[in-house]
Amino acid sequence: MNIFVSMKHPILIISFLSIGINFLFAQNRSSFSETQNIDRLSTLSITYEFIQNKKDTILDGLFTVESLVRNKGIDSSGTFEGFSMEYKKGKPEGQFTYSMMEFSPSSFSAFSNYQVTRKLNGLSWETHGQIKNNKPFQSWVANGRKIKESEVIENFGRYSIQFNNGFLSGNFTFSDSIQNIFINGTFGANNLLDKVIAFQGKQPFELHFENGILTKLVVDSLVVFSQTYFEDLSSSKPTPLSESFESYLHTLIKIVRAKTSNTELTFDYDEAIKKILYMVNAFEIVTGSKPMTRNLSHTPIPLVRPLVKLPIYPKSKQEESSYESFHNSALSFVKTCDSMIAIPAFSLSAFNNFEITRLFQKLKMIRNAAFTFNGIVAELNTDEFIHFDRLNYLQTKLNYYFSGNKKNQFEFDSEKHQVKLSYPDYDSSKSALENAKDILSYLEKELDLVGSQVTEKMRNVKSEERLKDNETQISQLANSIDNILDNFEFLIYNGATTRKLIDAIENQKKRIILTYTSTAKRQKTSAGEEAIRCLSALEQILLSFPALQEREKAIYDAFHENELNPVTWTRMETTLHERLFNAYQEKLIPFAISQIEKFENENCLTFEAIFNNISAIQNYMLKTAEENPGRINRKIRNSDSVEIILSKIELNLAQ
Amino acid sequence: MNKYLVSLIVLIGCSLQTFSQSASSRELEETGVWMGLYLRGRINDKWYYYGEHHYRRRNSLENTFDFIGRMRQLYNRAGALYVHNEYFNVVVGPTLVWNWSPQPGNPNFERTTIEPRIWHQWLFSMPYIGRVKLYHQFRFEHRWKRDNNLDAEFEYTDRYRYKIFAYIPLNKPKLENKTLFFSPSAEIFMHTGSNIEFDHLEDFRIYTAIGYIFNSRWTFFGGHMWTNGAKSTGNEFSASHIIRLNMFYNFNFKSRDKIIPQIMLDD
Repeated sequence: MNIFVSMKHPILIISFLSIGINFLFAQNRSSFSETQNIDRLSTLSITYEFIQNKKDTILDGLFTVESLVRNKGIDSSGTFEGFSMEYKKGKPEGQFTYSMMEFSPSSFSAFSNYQVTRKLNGLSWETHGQIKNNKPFQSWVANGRKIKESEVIENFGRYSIQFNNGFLSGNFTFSDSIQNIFINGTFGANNLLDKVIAFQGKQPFELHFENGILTKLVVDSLVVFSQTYFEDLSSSKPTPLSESFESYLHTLIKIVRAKTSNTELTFDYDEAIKKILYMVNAFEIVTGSKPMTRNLSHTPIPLVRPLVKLPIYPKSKQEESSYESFHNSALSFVKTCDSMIAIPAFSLSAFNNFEITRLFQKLKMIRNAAFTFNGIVAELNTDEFIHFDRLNYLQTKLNYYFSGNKKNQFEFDSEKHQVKLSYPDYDSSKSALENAKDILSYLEKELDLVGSQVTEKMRNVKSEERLKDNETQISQLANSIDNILDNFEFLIYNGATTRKLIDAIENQKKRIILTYTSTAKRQKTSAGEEAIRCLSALEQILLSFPALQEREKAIYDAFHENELNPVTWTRMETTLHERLFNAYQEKLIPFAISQIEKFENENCLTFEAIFNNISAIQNYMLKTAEENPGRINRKIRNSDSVEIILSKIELNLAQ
Repeated sequence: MNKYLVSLIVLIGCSLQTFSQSASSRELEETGVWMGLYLRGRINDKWYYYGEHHYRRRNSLENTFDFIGRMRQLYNRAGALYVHNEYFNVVVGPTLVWNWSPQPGNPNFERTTIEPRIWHQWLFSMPYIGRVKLYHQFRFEHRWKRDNNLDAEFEYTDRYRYKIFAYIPLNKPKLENKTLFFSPSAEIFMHTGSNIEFDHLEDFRIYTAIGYIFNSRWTFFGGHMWTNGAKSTGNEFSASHIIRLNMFYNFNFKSRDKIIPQIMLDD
């Protein structure tokens, strides 16, 4: 009896269990494919493979997007675009291909299988590159080809760039025989431009760089200009990484155009840049590198890019919450800074005190820094970056801010007030998000420090001076509110009710100013500050109205555009706009007026709370109207008073 | 604007002049009331359902001026309406008309006969000229028609119609909701067919109406129409006065909420 006979049953059971477990826990790999006709002229198809586990859908395998946009008319010309990328466990890894062709049908058509087959003429660009560890890797190459009757008849362009650890490095080459141009250049070890040689026809010129700064231009072996010419060009400051790549190219255009107007250079840089940007665009799609999009509007990318932005799979909960929490804390921090700045900002000019002014400048810088970093993280939290590696992107951006902008980003350097705000060093042992959090907590500490310094300084101002300041503050207030009201009137609907709202605010403003002006000398403490606080709260409310108007207008425009009266074939007013308008004019504004008129002895907190409620109604109206225009109408129609609406909204917001 | 108004008046005036040459053969023979319901059902931005349903009466045999003494026609037109843009649209579809006997009770006439048609219409709308919105309508009808005489056979004819009309808002600068408007129009009918022997001019109509756009769904429209049409003899013409009362109802096959496109409100 051998072992297989004696262990027959255990072997069978173990085999069954192991196979069964494999089936139970195996990740389910699936593929998705869809073709959509976006409109009469545009077709879009997307195909990808993915693994579905309990929490997420993870891209794994080939991801392909293709778009075909036909031009209007009957000649069947159009633009084809295709992008494909290998994904491994949710990350791009391997080769990508990005191709684009502007085509028109050839006059020659072939018969094949009893059908007429269109043959195409056109120009195509195809870019290949590698991605490894979420970074561009080795060389990326773009080939420009001239196509005639669906056959390649000429390779007219070839662009190649090199990457080292995600950074542009080594030699790069751009050539285009149609434009008759040739450029080659080098990125130095520090990832900054070193030297560029360009030809048009036989005429060469060289651009020499030192640490990314253009120092010399040589045309036909003659030095045309040296560094002194470029000192005034702010964009020639060294900035590393991919963003600088594009800005360098534009800098080149600017410089050469500005300085060679008397020579016979006819180099079409715009066209060259456009071609280069096809490749850069591929970079953007793969890496999600946001700065690249700034000047790409002229590149014909009709559909692929928006589709790549579609939420391919949901964010993991953990990832989402970590970004959300950073975003929220940064946002509330910015608000805190704003309120600190807003209160004394009214009276900034009243304090003719150098130290305090300087501290306020620092406050503003802290606020701006927090706003910037929050902006970066908030950007990552959008669907656009849903299938890119956000941490990698964040790291790239932070690197940029640390190394490129550290010296001048947050620096107030007028003649009198030299204020600086420097960050802690980037800690590469931590994750990018951790670094961003560190920056935020550093800024919070700075804010505490500056805030206490401001309080201390203000306390030290002599009481006489303070009383005088109070009066000046009040007159400053009057001017500020007047300005706000002027703008406010422009921005909201003209109507009797709106006019009343403005009048009510105007009256309250006068009353508050009168009260606190007459008592300012007696009340040495916080009367002026209280007035400022109330009015700045009022200002915040006023400022919130224009946004509402813009949004209402956007909805109105969108709806209006589609309402064609099929009797007269003219565009008609819509009831949606009327509903929104009525709700706004008849319910919200009178309520706001009544609250403002009642405001007599309440403290500022009540005042702010009332207006927060109004803001909540506005936002809710807007949100509901966007989602379902019918709902807001029903709710308002069925409600007897604004109080009832408020309670309904509170109920709704609480859900 | 005035230039175009003058042109329109001159055009109508010339037309009248053209048809006033044989006064003896143009007699007032008919008065009537036509009531119409016009439907437009929006399927999407480009396609609509088109429906036109008329209930038409005419004067009794005894009294030319009683307008409603006899039943004249039930008239049903349907179509698929394609909107190329706000300046051009085209409709194609079937029509089914019931023609009532000209002499009710006369056993030599069938009480009703049917008249099937295939029709298509090409409507060109011009941009506003001042307040005036001008339209050119080309309508083509392929008809299988027979008299009410017993044993009459179906005869095939083609009809070619051109109408020029205008909408002129009165209480607002543009045609929009709650607009009262004035609408003059002139339409000429030509026809061909194996049985058309004498005159290819079939009819000429001048219709002057007042309308009111209540909202984007309902429009009300009514007025007086004078026609000068060929009689069955082909070489004689008869005039008629018709009161027309119409309602236009526009509806969406999709619910209203879904019409609003998704829009990005934030960057």
